[in-house]
Amino acid sequence: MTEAQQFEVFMRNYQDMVFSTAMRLLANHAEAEDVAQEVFLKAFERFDQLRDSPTAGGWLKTVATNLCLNHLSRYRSRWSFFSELFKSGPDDAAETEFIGTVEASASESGRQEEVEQALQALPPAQRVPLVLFHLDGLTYEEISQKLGVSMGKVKTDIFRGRETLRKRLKIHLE
Amino acid sequence: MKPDHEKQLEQAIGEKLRALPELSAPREIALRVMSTLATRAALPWYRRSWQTWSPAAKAVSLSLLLASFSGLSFVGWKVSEADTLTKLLPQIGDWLETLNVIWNTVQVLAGAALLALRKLSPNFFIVCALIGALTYAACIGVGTVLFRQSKKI
Repeated sequence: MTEAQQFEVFMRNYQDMVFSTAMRLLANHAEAEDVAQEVFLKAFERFDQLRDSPTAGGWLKTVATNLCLNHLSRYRSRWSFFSELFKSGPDDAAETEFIGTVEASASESGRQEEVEQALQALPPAQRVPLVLFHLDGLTYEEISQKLGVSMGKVKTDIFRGRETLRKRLKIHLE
Repeated sequence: MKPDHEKQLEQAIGEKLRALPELSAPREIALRVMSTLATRAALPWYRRSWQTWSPAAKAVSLSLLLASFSGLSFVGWKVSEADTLTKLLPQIGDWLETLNVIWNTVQVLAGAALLALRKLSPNFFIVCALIGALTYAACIGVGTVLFRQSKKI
């Protein structure tokens, strides 16, 4: 088996994990594909070390997360700033649209699809720290360092994200 | 908000998110990566990134770089010596004279522009500033609309 073929097998083993990481942070299919591609191009440069490494998955996840955060800060911050600025209160239209999609999907692919959609419908300021906390296992302090915001803001955004998910998924607490 | 509520919420949401299965990556990713790698592999070695060069090529290029740097430093040191500098001074003087002519021309042009600006009324500058501000606002508006559209897609 040539090196290229070995790398293709390696990539197929990890591509779902890398794509999921990017998709949950960016909530944009095309951008997640671009980031996944970049991750694997970086991985190829270190393929000699990653090939048999038990930590290859962790390395790929970390690189994917960092590239997503770079992407968010580099390309989106200015436009999202103005989007937030012109937004008045909760986005009712988006909310209605979201509920419609969930209702349609509930009958098709079940609860996990609803959670996935609800997560991707969150605004980036809530979704990104929530994903880093629950799926990447980072602490509040690590998230605040990675995002360059205060720990108080991280806690508030995560709390708001959880509350939005609770309402959208109709989770009842005791 | 009660701390109990927050704890329960954290646990409930955490369980939901961690239970999510991995999303299926589109086939195009692997195809695009392999195609990019094939394109890169077709490039001659010296056009690829320095990290991918063979150790021998890296050593040679590093040595050449160091030799060039040392050579430049040596030449700089020699030039700074008085004898060489004395020979070079007339040449530098010629260069400076050319620069002086250019500087004088720029000064005359700037003076003329300044005179023309003084003759203009303040309203002209206000209109210019307004046009600039409106153009900037239009750029931001179009950018925001396109950003929102791309998010919907």
